[in-house]
Amino acid sequence: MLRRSLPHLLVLFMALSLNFFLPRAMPGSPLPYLVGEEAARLSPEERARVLAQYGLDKPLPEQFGLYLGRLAQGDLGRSLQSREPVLKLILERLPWTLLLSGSALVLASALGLLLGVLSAWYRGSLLDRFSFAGAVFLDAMPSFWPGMVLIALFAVQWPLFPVFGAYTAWANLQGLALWVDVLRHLALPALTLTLTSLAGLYLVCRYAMLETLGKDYIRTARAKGLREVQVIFKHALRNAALPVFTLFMLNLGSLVGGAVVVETVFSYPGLVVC
Amino acid sequence: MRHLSRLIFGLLLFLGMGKAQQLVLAIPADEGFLTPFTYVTGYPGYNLLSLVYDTLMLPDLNGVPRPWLAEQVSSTNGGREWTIRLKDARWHDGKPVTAADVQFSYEYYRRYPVVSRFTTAVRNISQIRILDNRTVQISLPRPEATFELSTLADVPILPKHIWENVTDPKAHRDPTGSGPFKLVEVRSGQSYRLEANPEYFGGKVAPQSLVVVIIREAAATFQALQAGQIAASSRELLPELIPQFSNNPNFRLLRGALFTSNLLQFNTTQPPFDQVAFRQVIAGLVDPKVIVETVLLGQATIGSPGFLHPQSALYNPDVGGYTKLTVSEAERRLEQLGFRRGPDGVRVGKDGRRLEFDLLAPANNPLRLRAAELIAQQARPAGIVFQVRALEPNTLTDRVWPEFDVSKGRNYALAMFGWSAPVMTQANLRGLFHSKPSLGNLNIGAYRNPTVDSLTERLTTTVDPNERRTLAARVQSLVARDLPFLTLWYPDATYAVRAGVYDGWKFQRGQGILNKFSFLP
Repeated sequence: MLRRSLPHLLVLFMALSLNFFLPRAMPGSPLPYLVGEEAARLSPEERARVLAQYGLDKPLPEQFGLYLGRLAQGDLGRSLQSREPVLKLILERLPWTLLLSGSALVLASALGLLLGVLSAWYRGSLLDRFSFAGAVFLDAMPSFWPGMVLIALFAVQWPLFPVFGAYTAWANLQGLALWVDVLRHLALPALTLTLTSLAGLYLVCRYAMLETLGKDYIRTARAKGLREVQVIFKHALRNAALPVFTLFMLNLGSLVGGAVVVETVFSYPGLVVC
Repeated sequence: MRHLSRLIFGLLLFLGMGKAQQLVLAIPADEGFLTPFTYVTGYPGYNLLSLVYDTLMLPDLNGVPRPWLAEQVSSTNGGREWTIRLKDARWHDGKPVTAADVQFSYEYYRRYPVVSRFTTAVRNISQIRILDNRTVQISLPRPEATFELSTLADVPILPKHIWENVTDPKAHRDPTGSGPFKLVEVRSGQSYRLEANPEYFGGKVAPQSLVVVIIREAAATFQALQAGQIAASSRELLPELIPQFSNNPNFRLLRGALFTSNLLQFNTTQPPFDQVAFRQVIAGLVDPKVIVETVLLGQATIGSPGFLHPQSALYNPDVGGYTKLTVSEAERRLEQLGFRRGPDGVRVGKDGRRLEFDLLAPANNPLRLRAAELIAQQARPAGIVFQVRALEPNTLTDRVWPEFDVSKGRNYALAMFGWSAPVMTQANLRGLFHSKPSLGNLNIGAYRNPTVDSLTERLTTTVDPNERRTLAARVQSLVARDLPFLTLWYPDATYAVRAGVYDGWKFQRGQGILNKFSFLP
């Protein structure tokens, strides 16, 4: 057990060390982050006092020890931006990020799977060529771009959806109305994220299906006189699903961090702003 | 489809803004909880804070401090004693604002120096005495010319009955102030809701309720403005967006000057920048007008060689503009200074050193970067090479101003730099130009002129406005001759607000539209 978790612990330790040492290895003083632009007006004694307040006057190994000690007690410190405890911020914002990335992942997987199957089945057709080109195009796009386009179209030109936020800040909605409001705010960012993550799933699904459709057992299934729908969904898709499922699970790992750009574009109150 | 959606959205907007008299305003980042110890940035954080808390004085729309929470402010003993009589104001919980609150606040900021802005502002107070329930007297060990502006008009007064037992001000979450708005809700990273204080001593507050939302992207902010989802933003319009908004009848534009500065900073300890004559040649080659026209599309005021903005109260109009040099004149002067053209056209000094320097510019500021490139182009024909080096802003500050301490040395020849508005509004000329590091704490170029030293020292302790103007005028003339840096431009700001939604916006000189006056009659 210990031997198996050792590499994980090692990775965790390295991640924590990087997190600690990288900002300290950067040139420049931490003061602007701690006291803002007024850092310039402090006397040397006041500057030293601010640094001492944050323990930044101590030798690095001691700071590192304190940092690890606090982490072990579940204390993640305070956000420099909002001065709130980081743990509280994470717990507040994680649900929004999960909602956004989760709905985008489900949508992208469903769409990717469906399009992938259809594309493979009607290989060479207009649909296939169009989807394939579309996927390659989407894959190459930076993720803020479709976001800006969607805002320009569906929030400004045709004002159907809001530009920013996760709900209407001033409306104080309750119950069903709140849910509808949250979904309206979710629509554009989730669609943006869906569009940008759709391509990978689609392409993998298409290739897996194409490969499976050429297999002997498919020919056998067809020879048995099964209906096409049965052949595709019962025999082909089930076998082609493995790589798609693998990719889905891999994407699951990026649920928390993947939405950074989209959250910024739509000012979605997820983890980005901590 | 299009009409229907517009109708639905219009209805929502009406419900959201019109009926309840709610005004929705956007800011670019989370400003934390709005107490004097937990707000984040100077702009717009402090401006939001000032909607909830009051100061004894307040800069008017022209930036001149006037009594605010104070009914009367008078100084005696050459500016060493300040007597302040309070108005009949109340805290949001109904209790009266008293002299004890003022005394408590100033002492509290000394005891818990968490926010440096107020730490430095109350640093020089030697004593605060309560004369009666509504009068306090503040004593200073020596006169301080900017005391009204940098202390009385800047330090928020706290309610003693709420803060007196607070020992960790950063963790305290009670926003009871005396300001025009009460803070009723904070949703971290998303929005603030403020409600009008019906009892406000400054007059009837409009709108009833103010919702401040956080929109991080500039592009999304302006899209939200166009879609009518917000009524205004604390962001200035980008120059290229101005025509689009000014041609749209749904918007009203408010323009005005900002007092931040953009400089070409010389390190005057490094040859040849240690020679005034050489700096003058650079000043003659660099044309700030071209920079303002090409980089800022005209949306800025051209810098004055004496540093102070033409709209500043202490500006000296006799300073004029920079003396332009033709390339041949500049070349002649460079020859006189002993810089001859080398085989590749770059000039070489008597010591054999080429006139080739790194010009540092912040990578996150496209305006300063582009200006740096233009400067390099303008200097090149005379045989001077500036290599523009884009640096991460913290790295740049570390090279120009290590540890924010001018006595810690400097590691640059030329840099694009700038100061925030208070340096200009408070005319901190001693900080900028004094040669002694403890006094000239912003003198990052190590400028040295004994006359300027004594003039700026007198300026900081002179209270009489006429005398101050004379002193400042002389400093500006000397600086315009010695050129420790070139003041290139001060940005002008243009804000777009939805017309018809709310029309009370007012532009405060040097500050923008997010100020108390925008919400008072």
